[in-house]
Amino acid sequence: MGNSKLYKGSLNTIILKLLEEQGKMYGYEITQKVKNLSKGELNITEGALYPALHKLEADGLLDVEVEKVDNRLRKYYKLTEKGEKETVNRLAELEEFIRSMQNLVNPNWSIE
Amino acid sequence: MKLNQNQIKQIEAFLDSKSLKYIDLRYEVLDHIALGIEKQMENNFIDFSSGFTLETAKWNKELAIDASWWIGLVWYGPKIMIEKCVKIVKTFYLFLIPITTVLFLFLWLIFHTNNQLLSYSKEIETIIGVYYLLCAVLILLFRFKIKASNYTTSYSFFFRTQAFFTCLLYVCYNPFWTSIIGFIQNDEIILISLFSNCFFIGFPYLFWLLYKSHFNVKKVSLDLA
Repeated sequence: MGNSKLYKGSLNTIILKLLEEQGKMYGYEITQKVKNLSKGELNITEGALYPALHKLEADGLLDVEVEKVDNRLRKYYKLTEKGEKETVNRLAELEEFIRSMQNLVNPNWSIE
Repeated sequence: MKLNQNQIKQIEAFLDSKSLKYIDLRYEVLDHIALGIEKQMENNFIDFSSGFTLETAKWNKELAIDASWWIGLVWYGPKIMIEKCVKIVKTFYLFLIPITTVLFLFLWLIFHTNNQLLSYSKEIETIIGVYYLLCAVLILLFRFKIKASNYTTSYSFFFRTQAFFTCLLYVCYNPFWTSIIGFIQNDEIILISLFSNCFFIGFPYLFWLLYKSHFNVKKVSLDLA
């Protein structure tokens, strides 16, 4: 991806959307899933991912479970009830933003 | 291919060399690096040593020593931890500043509409002064309890960076004995002083949040460690 800054503001929404689909995930799994879905175009840096996950957890949008796997601890994240509602709101906001951007850069183009 | 205990210890030694001792991040970063190495070994048919070199190279930037003026440039640590602290402080200010403004306007309106209250300036400032001293004592108490917990988190790091100077501020910047700091002088409200007092009334909440978060990490991590 030439300009990953375009994704930066949507990182939290991407995380919430993935957790809504997958149920529960751990940090490494999230980075790999994003990489696969974007066909390698988007690499979430670890330095951005973990502070973002911890912030969403502090905001009460994510719940955590820690399990011991292969001699080490693994922290799983899943959506709370508040997180589920917030995901719906943020996805609606993101879709609205995408629609507005499409209208701005290409008024004749439609996603319908 | 799963890593053995010795290989995990090598990753731990790498994290030690980067001073990543904060358990709210350390266990996750360790698992992340271990999974990355396992993937490298499986996909590229390389040994642990090569996988370790490739994976840890990706983390050098995130674990490099960093500092931020948001928490004070004299305090430094791994970049990933500093960024987490900066996120906490920014969120806290976004919460505190509107509340401070509302409290300021509310008090200003009350004092403005009821001039009689101005004659109780000494009593009001005494209450605030005692509150500040109480906050300073509580912050120190929390600081000792965190230290006694024998583990370190990003929250305890952040708490440590702010505790001493905040306590000092609450003792020195105290209308209880420093009359020039009081927000009522000669029966007039000093707006800057009123605003700063409103801010300092709410600021100790940050320490409560950090204290709570520090012990919350223990619940989710150390039980299994």
